[in-house]
Formats: sequence, C-alpha cells, structure tokens
Amino acid sequence: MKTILLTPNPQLICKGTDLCEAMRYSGCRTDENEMLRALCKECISELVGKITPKAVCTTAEVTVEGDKIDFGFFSTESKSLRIFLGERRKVGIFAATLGVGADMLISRYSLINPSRAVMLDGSAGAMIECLCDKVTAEHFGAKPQERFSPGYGDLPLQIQSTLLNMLDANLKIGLTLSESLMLLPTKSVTAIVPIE
Amino acid sequence: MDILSKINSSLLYFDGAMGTELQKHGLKAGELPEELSLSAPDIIESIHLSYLDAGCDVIKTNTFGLNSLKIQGERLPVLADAALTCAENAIKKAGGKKRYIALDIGPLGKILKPFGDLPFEEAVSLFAEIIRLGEGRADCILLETMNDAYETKAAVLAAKENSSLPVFVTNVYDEKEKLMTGADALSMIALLEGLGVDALGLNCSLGPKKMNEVLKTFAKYSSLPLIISPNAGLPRTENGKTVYDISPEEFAKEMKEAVLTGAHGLGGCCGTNPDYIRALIETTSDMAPQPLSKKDHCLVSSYTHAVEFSDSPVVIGERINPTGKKRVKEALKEGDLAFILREGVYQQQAGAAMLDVNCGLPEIREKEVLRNVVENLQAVCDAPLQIDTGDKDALEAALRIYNGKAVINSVNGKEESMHSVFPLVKKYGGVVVALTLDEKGIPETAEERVRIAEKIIETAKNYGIDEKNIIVDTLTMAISTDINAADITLKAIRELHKKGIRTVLGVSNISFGLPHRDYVNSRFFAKALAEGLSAAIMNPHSENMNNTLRNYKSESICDEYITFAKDLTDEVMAMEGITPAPADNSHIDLKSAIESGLCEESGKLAKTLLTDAPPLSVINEYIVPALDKVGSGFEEGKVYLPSLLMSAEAAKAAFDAVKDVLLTQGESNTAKEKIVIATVKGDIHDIGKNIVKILLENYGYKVVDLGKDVSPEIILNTAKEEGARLVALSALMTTTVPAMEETVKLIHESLPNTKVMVGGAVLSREYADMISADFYSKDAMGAVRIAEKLFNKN
Repeated sequence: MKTILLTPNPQLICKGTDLCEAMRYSGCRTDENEMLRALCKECISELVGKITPKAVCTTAEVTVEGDKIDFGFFSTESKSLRIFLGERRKVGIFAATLGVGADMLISRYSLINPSRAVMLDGSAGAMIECLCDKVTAEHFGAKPQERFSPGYGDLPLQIQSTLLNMLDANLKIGLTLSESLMLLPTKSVTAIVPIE
Repeated sequence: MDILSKINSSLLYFDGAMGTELQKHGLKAGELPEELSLSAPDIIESIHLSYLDAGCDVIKTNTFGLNSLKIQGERLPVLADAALTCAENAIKKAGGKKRYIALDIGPLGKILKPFGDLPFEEAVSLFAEIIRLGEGRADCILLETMNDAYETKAAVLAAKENSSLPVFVTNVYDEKEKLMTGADALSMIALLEGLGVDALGLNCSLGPKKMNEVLKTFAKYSSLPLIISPNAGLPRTENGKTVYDISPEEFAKEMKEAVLTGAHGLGGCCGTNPDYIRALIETTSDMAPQPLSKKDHCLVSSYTHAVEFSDSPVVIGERINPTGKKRVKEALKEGDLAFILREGVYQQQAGAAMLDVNCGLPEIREKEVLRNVVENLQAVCDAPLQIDTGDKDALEAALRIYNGKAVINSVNGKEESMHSVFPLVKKYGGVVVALTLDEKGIPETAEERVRIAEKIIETAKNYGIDEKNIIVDTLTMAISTDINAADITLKAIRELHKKGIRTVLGVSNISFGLPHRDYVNSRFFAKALAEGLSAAIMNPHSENMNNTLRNYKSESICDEYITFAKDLTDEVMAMEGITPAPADNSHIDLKSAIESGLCEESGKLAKTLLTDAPPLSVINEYIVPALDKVGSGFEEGKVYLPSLLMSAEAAKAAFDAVKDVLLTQGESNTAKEKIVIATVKGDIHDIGKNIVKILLENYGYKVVDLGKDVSPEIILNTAKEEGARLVALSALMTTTVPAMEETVKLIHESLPNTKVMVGGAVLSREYADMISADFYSKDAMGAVRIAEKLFNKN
C-alpha cells in the first residue's frame, strides 16, 4: 500500500482557519464580542508557533456486500458508511494531526487560565478541520467536511488501530491510539473520503 | 577491540535501512517486520549480509518495534532470539573484520503521560523487557528514531538498570531542529550526557545535508562520540512510489562533511541500501575522525531547551518554597496545585530562567508532593527545574520523573551528604549546588569555604561526576547578625571565579532582620555579580533586583552607548508586552471588574476594599453577586463560555486577596464543603473538568482535583479520606463511560452518603441515568447549581 506524507506549513493552516468556527467551537454562539474575537485571534497565532500539521493518506477500492464493506486490507460492517458511500467505490483514507504541541499549549493554560485554554481548544479544533479540508480537497477532490470517521454512526471505533497501522501513522506523523481508542495527540482525525 | 573503544577512536560504520529493504522483499503494510526473523529468517539474514558485504562494522537487529505493547507474552523473547540469531549467522557467514551487533530499539508507539496515556515507569518496564534479552549477545544497545525526550529518558534508564552494554542514542529532529515533542539538540545533549549514555546523535527524517547542520551543535557542546544516520534525502512520490532524492554518491559526499564536523558513527536510515553504505565507506575510509574533546559547558535542561551557567548570570526563581511564605505553605498543605503552577508560570514570565522547587513541610509527605509538583509543573512551564530538598528519597523520586537535566539543590561538604546525593547525580544527571559547609558547620573565612568547595568537587570526581556539573553556593548569611557576613561570601565568590568554578547564591538571606530588604538585596546582588556570580536564587518579580541584573548585563555586553540604548529599548518594549498599559479602569468597582473579566483589576480592587471592609462582606456583597449575574447571563445564552471563565478568573484573583487577609488573621479554612473532581480512567481530556473546578471554587467550595485518567479506586479513596459528600466526574468519549459507571458503582457501594455528579461531551441525562449517577449537568454553571442545591438543602 502506497501512502503519501503531507506536511503543510502551519501558516497556511492558520490562514485557512475560520475565526467564526473557532469561536463557535469555544462556546461563543456569535463572533460579535470584540474582546473574544481578539482573544481568539491571539490564540490562533499562538498556536501557529506550536503546531506541526501532518497528514498521511492513501486510496483504496471498496467492495460492498450488504452492510459489509471490504477495503481489500480489511473489512467492516457499517450501514451508515454504506449509505454515506452510495454508489461510490473508490475512497481516500487519511490520518491528520496538529501534533502534540497543540495539546501542550492547551494544557499549559488549562489550570491557570481556563478561558484561554477553552479558546485555544476551540481554535485548535477549527485548525484540524482546516487541515482535513485541505488534505481531502487537494488529494481526493472532496468537498469540505465530506468525510466519515470511525465512531460516526455505526462505524466501529475499533477500526482506528487498523487504519493507523495501515497508514503507518505512528512513525510517519506521530499519531497514537490510547487504550480507550482515543487518538493522541488529541487534535487528530482519521477518516474515509469518497472519491467521485 | 570492543565497540566502545572503536567508536571513541575511529570511524564506525553502521548499516542502512531495514524497512526499505523489507518492502523490496514484499513486506505488506500493517505487517510486523519483526515476525520475519522467525517466519523468513533467510530474508533478514540476507539483508544483514548485504550490508556486511558493503563493509559496515555494525548491524542493527530486526527488533525495532519489538515490545510487549505490540507482541504479547512468550512471543517477545522468541522473536528477539530469532532476530539476534539472524544477526549472528550473518556475521559468521560474512567473515573478515570484527563486526558488532546493535540491539535495535525504536519508540513504543505511545505518547507518555501527561499528554498521552502511558505512565513513565511503564515505559521504563517495556524497554527493560527487550533490553534484558540482548544481554550477552549484542555489543551495544541502540535507541534510535526516538522522537520524544521523555520516552528517550525512559529507554536510557531501562538500559542502564538492566544491562551492562554501552548505550547509543539517536533522535529524530525535524526541519526546525526539534524533536516531535519540542526538545532542541542542546537540551538532548544535556539530558543524554547527564544520563551517562556512551554515544549520541541523530537519525531519520532529514537528509544528510540538513542533518549535518544540526550535527554542528552536537560537535560544539557534546564531549561524546557522535552518530549520524540520515535518510537518503527527502521522500517524494513518483508514480505512486516513495523515492528518495539523493544518490549514493551524493550521500557519501555529504557524509564526508559530517566526518569533518565530528561524526564518528556513520550509517543510513530510510531510503538507504547497501549501495549507499558502500559509497559512504569508500569515500570516507581513509579519513581520520575528529578527536574527542571534553567540553566545559554547564548545562541544565527542560523538555524543550537547555540553559547554560555561563558568564551571563541567570535567575532562578525562589517562590515555590514554603519557608516564610504562608500562601505557598497553605497551597502545599491543601494540595492546591493550581496555585503552585501559577507561581511557576508567573516567575517564568517575569524572567526566571529556572525555577527552584521546594516542598519541605513537616506535615506533608514530601516525596509524593515533590514528585507530584515536579510532574505537573513541567507540563505547564518549560523552564528547567531546580529540585530543592534534603530528603534523599524525595530527590530521587523527583529526578527520576523529571523530563530533562535538573539542578539539584543541594549537596554539602559532609560525608553523609555527598554519599547520599552524588550517586543520584551520577545516575540521573544534573548540575548540583554545593554548599560550602561541612561537619564543623559554616566556616567564617572565605578560604575555608573555598577549601570545602574544592573538597566537594574532588569527591564528586570519585563518583564520576565532572566538575563542570558543580556550582558552588558560598552561603549568604544575614548581615544583621554578622557584620562581615557579606564580605566573606563575596570574597569566596571571587576566589572561585578565578579558579573557573561557577557560583550561585540565595541572595535575599543577606537582608534578614533588616528594613527595606529589597534595596539591601539588590546592593549585595550587584556586588556579587561584579565578583563573577553565575546564578542567583531570587524573587524574579523584584524590580530592584531585575534592574540590578539588567544594569550589570548591559554594562558587560555593551561597549557603546548606542548599542546600550538600543538594547534598553528592546527591553522596555518587552516589558510593555508583559505589563498591559493601564486602562482607564479607575472608576470601576469590583463587581463590574469581575463581570468584565478583568483579572488584575479585580485583585487590586479587592485589596483596596479589604483595607476597611471585612473579608466576608467582600465575598457576599461583591464577588458572589457579580458571579451570579454572569452565571445567569451564561444560562440565558447571553454570556459565552470564555467570558464566563474570564469572570471566574477575575473572581479568583479577588478571592486570592481575601484569602491573603484571612491567612494573616490566622484563619485558613473558609471552605464550605469539599467536592472531589476527576476525569475518569482512560480519558485524558481535562478542560471541561477544570472549568467546573474553577467555578465551584468561586462559589467557595474546596475542590480536591485528582486530575485526569484517574482510577475508580483512587477517586473512592480520596472521597473517603476527604469526607466529601459530592464527587464530580467527567468523560469525553463513549469508550470511557464504562470507567465512569464503575466509579459511580464503587462510590455508591462504599459511601452511601456521597452523591455523584457527571458531565462531559458524550453524556446526556439518559446516559447519566443509565449509569446510575445521582446528578447530570450539561455545563459548568449547572454543576454549581447542583452543588448549591445539594448542600443548602442538607
């Protein structure tokens, strides 16, 4: 299986990050409050120096039989993924992460300055979205947010470790899995993307 | 010749990539290469042989990913044995010159706590398992492709504790010359030399050209043989295949440069094959390595960077110490970690290059508390730490889990002290502060203090500790009790400085018992700097002291006033960045300061109010009403979470002022009720928990925070010990709800009077009912309302 490693410039991710989205992730229903806008901008620029955005991706042909979806190197049962794929049989698979630097920064403020920690957390959330959209648009020609991750619908979380192994995501981009199947660093995503 | 003598005195050639070669033989993605030692030993052997035929001295065993996280039970020793056998057979077949086997060990594929879920000691044990299997068969242990300083430390400790083989370490640096978790080359040199590895360097990720750039730092600061194993340039994709962009010849040419820079160990990583190694050897075999030279840099490090004790004096923040500081004492006794962490962060912001950490109080278990403070402090502060304790066990516990090379405060001239401290310095690394006193007490002459310093340095050498790792404290005694105190101390500094020995002082002792202490301290400090003082343990918030240091530094740096003025402008600018310009907030009162989330203002206004209002009325008439107003706004959706938290932080600043007053009045316990809070086992998300915590504290509750990834047993035991009637649990993932359920069950069984409140992204009221929680809250204000209702009713 051939994989491609991507290491986009943090500045690009920063530019592509939607401020309104970052604020929404931080618990702001609107982006009208000037003070909070300023804080959010500050958080995004602080994150730029700390993140190391990386992604690794590959493509696969799937065959579908009932709810059983076979990727060639593994198969899983998922009705919701089947519906999501529709008639499309070529998929992109990727893992992306902002790196452990984002977690470290958030944790730094978590106990001593929780308002900043919340804003950093939300901003980092918007940044990983931006990274995913970039990867899927450039490599799979996908629309923003058109992707399906383990844990969505009935797609089992247990397939995380198979995906990570197959992409060699641990050595390539430093992505790991906790015993409770959490992706670590926490600002990370694995997903399946249909290719038209 | 053994491998250590060989790498010390000549070039030592390692092999190239194993993974790249295995892929050529059809290794599939997701398949474990280590299994092939058993299932297809001929393939592994032939790869080894191809590198040996290319002329390399050292082959790496096929054990890179071999650990019991990936391979369980009896399979681990079987695969290790198979891998070693492959290497041994290949060497037998190759014949010719003396060859060596490196037991190859890569990272565990886990992130260590606190940013991941693998405990440090578990990492040590996992490495120990595989390391023990190489004893008697391998010639050295090669810890390679390590991308985290902490994990590297765990691996080196495991090697030192479980094997007599030489330990070589190579780390992965990125384009910014840092490890994945942020450590730079200098901090890794400090850490690894401190831990006593035998050779160190870099591998993977970079091509030889860029790697040679990083190698220059190693050559400048490290006294050990250096190893470099670059990739065959950078990977790129061509027709769906990963190819590397430089040829064996170009590779060899760049490696020639590396030899000139100072590399002794030369090999290849991803993309290299026997052709690269052959070209490398052909090009460099007639070269002589740069001779090793001892470097005299006195370095300490954190998980990101190193600090050097040099001609430019450094500030060591003294604030985390209960002696004479009521709030710190209180915080240590109450387990108020957040207060201690804030002290750390603020000192670093104020310019402290390192932080002293002292948790010595008779009423606490120093070993546990010190270890806990160090562990947490290094997650929020990247300043190197100075472990300050007289308790040997506490010192070892703290040094062991410290993510870097620490300063150790202190050893003295007593046999007993040296005998207990030096073995720890030798094992864990560190720069040790040597106090110039011995069995006879503190000498009254400078000459005697210098003599003790020299005795300590000599004794340290017998333990294998280099004199560069000792800084001498010539002891500041109160001038009020001995008029000559300052002169003796200063003279001793001068004498030691002449001998090239570095010095440190706890400056503020000088003014003990005198008025205007800050002025006296700065005056003494100025004199000590002039005598060549290397470091001061002091209050980094003191303007007078900072100015003294600034003046001293600008004098020594600047030959010209223009440069001086320019530097000054930079410093002033930097200071303006730290202290925000005073806004026109003079008219606002405490209530609106809290509502607007103005932290500094709230603290100041509370202080002013407290000069004539009783503490309780400040709480009840200002702080609580302001919080209630913001809280209601939040519940109505008009105030957003970050604003709510800013108000909570402002209220906290006001509370701190109240607490200071209460402490001076001798009252320490104002808390209404205790609440135990934790993120459950398996979950490492703690922002939500911390939000709930600060709000509960604002409403006067004493919150016992157990942190994240906490086992049900610890939560139960704490609730029992603290007599808490409410336990708050947080979970983010569906996969950790079972741990939450188990905790709820355990508490209900053992503590019928304790209620459990749950929250977190994944929970809903239905889910909370399903796991039999007593209360569910969708947000932090809801948690406060639940606590208020529960405790007011009873």
